[in-house]
Amino acid sequence: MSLRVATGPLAGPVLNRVAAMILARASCPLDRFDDALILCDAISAYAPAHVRDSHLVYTLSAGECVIELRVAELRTGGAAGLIDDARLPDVGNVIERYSESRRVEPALDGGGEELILTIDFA
Amino acid sequence: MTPDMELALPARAENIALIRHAFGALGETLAVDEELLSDVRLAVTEACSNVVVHAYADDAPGPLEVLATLDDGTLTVVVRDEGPGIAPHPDSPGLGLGLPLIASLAESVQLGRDEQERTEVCMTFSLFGDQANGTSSIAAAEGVAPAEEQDDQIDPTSRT
Repeated sequence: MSLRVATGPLAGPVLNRVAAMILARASCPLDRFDDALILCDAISAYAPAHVRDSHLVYTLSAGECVIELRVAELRTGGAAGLIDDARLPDVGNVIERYSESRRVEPALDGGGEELILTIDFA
Repeated sequence: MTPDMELALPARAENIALIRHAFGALGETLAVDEELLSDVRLAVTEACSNVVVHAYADDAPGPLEVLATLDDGTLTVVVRDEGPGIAPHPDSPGLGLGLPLIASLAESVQLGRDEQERTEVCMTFSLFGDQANGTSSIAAAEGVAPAEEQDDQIDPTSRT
């Protein structure tokens, strides 16, 4: 499913609710469930500084013991900026800590780029 | 106007709960009155249920899109599908109350098609002012008119 949401107060709560539902449906265990929501919080908090315009697009898909979260409509260099911003004192980088893999792809529409994260719960 | 929130997902029954959750987050973030939020969620649920039940063949669910736009205290919700459109279904499994229920919950309802010929149900809700519950009518998107004037165009019971 895909969720396109304006950067602003809606972005975090809506992503968290939708992600929680998809994680629950995928039988994600509680510890990874919490990790995933922390990850979503971090993305919602830091991504608005790196968007192409005023919206973010999240695409969530569930596989066998894995959730893929695609963050789109980032400007060029925005994915790296988003990951850098998620570095917290005494905690480390929240995105790197709570996701198993991260990759950056050019946007399908040719403008900017997308950050693709996976959360495993085998 | 660009929607503040857009959801695109397969028109399956289990996805309606996901849409309700998203609207729950929207309502809580905007501090919408709980009763009004329930009305919004119920109306959106009805519109999405219509898509799930009527828009596509059972074995081939197509796309369901829900768009929410906030403007000056008014929430506009569009539920969109790529089915054949709203037409009488004499063999409908429902009670035929879906669209009238939406009309009673929303401030206004429009049924129609967008520029790509996708079927749309467009509902508006006044989030912070007086809501005219029970007074709205179902109207066609083109040539908005009270429902009783256009029974020959759209049968509000055609989607339950």
